[in-house]
Amino acid sequence: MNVPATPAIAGRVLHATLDLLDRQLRDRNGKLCGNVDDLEITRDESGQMFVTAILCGPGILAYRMGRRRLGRWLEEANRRVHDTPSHHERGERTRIPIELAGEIGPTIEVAVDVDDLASHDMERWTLQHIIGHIPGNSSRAHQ
Amino acid sequence: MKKLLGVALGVLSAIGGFVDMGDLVANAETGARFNMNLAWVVLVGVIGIIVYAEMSGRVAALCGRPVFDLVRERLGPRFGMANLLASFFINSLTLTAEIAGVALSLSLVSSVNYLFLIPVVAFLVWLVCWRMSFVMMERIFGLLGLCLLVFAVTVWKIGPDWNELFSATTHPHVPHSETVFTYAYFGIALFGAAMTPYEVFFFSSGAVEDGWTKKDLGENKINVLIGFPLGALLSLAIMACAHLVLAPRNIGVDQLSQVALPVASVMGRLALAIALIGIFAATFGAALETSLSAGYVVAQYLGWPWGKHNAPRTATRFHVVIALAIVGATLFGLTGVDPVKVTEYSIVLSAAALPLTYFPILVIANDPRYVGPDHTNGRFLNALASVYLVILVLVAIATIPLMIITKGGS
Repeated sequence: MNVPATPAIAGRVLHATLDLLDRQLRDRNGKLCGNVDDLEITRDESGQMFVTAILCGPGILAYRMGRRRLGRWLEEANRRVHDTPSHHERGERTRIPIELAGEIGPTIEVAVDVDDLASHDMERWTLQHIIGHIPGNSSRAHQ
Repeated sequence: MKKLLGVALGVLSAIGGFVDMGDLVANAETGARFNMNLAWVVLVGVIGIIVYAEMSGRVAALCGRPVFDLVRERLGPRFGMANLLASFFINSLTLTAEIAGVALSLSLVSSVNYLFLIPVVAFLVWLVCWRMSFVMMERIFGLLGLCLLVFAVTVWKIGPDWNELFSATTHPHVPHSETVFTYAYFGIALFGAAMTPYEVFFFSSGAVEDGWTKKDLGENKINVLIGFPLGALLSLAIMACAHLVLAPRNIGVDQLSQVALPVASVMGRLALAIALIGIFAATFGAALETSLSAGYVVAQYLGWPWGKHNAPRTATRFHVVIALAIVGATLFGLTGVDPVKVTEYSIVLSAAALPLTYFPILVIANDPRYVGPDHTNGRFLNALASVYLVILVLVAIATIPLMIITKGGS
């Protein structure tokens, strides 16, 4: 799913960005797991650019929108609720290599587990601290 | 009966738009002040919501993506965020009014001060969001809301001069006691109510909740074509009742208790009871619609798991947002704000944000990668939808100045 981006076919690149950014992500079990908040683009020696990863998680959208302080704050807040020790591990949890992306359609399926993504940390925290304490949280509503 | 139950989603969505707390009063007030001279706006509005709700339902059925997902994708995160903040704010105002409205309608029959009932109502709204299945919810409140048809029966029982009602609708004019500005302001309020954004948030998310697929495109059409016109009919019936019964006696309408007055005076106590059940169901239904919509828009913008088709423990942030919206609305309601004023302002403010919601729907309904090559809009539908988009933009521009000039329509 590498998208070449030489000026000659720059139109297709724009296209790819439009088709990727802000799309809904689904994990390998079909669970909703965040949106494509940003893309990692790498340039090889010949100057060609490739989309190498989907970025998704707390603070990333804020960074993309130029709100660095908000982005840092969200990242920090998330680190506290999740207590991920190293920065490196954190980076891995917000980065989904493009090879793991399946078909690019109205939603994008990625071959990861929702629990391995930073975008799911708050969901889990909310379950442990709030929703899990309210009776009836685990049953589907009655038909 | 099965057919009737099948259109419950459309009916409940429409009730939230046309006859929720603020609109019940606004419809009656319009009838009392402008006769039927603004009825045409309801007709224009209902066509608009039919066109756009059908598109949103079709997109949801074909690719499982509800409206607010599309908003971020097509407007980009910035405009999407602006729409999110505006929609959430307006939604919360409306929710405040609905919770207070349910409390008011209960206080009419129990003579307990409505402020004491607000926390009780809020808890019940939360409980339904937490526990009741989506299907059950849409059926109970959608169908009970149809008790409001008693207003239509009342109009029929009065046996009005149909020609006069009809000609005021087709040849409208500004009554002598009103100005062009108040006429336009009330027109926008009615149009904004017909096309309230949370109708499509709720309708398209409901289509996903109900598990619609390609097979259900017919269901989508029927829901839209029966649900929304029914909402418009109820709205017009309430307007006509006020025009026929209240206007000749110089009774103005500014609170909920006066809305049902024509039914009581023409049809008696049993009919009044039916009308009150209808008012209760409509306001409660609208409270559910707005509290769920609060969860839908935030979760869909941020890509969280959402929906009542999941157990709460698998859509935790969604449920937290709903609970926070209900708590916020309750606290605001407890300050004793006039719920009628709150919805009137929220409708008019939402009119200013309408294009941001409807534009992405139109774009996606034309995109074969989302709806498949066979289900994109036809030419006629696109022409009609484009005309409405122009109207929406004009309305959005005119709204705030009119609100200031008329001091909120007074």
